[in-house]
Amino acid sequence: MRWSQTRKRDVVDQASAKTIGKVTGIIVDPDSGSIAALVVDGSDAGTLVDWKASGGIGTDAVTIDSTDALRLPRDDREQRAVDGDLDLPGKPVYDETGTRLGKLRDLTFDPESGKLETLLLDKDEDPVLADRLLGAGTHSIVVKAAGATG
Amino acid sequence: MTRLLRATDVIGHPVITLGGESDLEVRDVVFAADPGVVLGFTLRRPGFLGKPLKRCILPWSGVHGVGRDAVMVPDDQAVDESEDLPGGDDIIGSRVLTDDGTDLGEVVDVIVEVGGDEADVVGFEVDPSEALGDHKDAVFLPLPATISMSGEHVMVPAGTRDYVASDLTGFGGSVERFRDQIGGTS
Repeated sequence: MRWSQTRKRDVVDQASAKTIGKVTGIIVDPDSGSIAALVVDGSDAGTLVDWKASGGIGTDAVTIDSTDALRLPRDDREQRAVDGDLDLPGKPVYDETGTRLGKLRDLTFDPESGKLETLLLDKDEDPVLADRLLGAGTHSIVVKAAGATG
Repeated sequence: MTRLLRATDVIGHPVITLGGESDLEVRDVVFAADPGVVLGFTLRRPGFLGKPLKRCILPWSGVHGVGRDAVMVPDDQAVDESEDLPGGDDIIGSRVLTDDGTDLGEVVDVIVEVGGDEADVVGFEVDPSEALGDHKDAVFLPLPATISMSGEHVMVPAGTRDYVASDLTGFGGSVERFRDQIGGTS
């Protein structure tokens, strides 16, 4: 599934069957190579849903058991994600040797597990496999050098 | 795998953590002469009015990688705001003088080899004097592993003029041959 297709998808609370907001961002965990949380806009109850607290990203909506799954940011990084500073598309992508590979155009992930699959760059080059991801910050996304091991 | 970089290309590079954060960029490259290596970088805030930050340095030991577009550091602890980097004199603008007294030209850039533990100074880009013949454009001179330099002159062996290169392609090989023949071991 592509992030560009997922953005703005409804978040539906199963308990009330109501749409409580839309997904506007993701927080990735580089260590696990997965989506750690979804940023939700439009809800009064909170702005983040941990991936594990959601039913994954379905074809038409993201479901949560109840609004108890919504929470507020716990640290600076999560607050920056809620503020939009960590939005991934458009961020420059550098590798660890100091070479700029391009700008992130989109990314793909497994909609059930949240595991990142590929990073798609603006330049018409091969996708970068997400297992190369080292970090995603306010300035840029950093990946291992091509062919790096470990 | 090692790569050759021009020191002036690194000026203005953002300093980026592996976590994707960057507040600073490279202001200047600081060299040592014995051995000829990069000691580190002085830093500034980005932007046209980016002020140099006194006592804000990135020692080479804190560098994860230097490339065409950025200097990468493991995290923001790599930048030291409490130390000065004991600086060598400015090399750029010095005159290259052979040990038999011939001026070969003015240093316009420093060529550094990165990829190993140290960033070795391996050569200069020089605006050539007449002693180097009829070159209109800048040329490249290899350097010994230890360099004798002040802000005024850099001393090179007389035989250096036999190893002049017109571009950086294959320059690494020229440096090796030069050091084997004339410049001492690195």
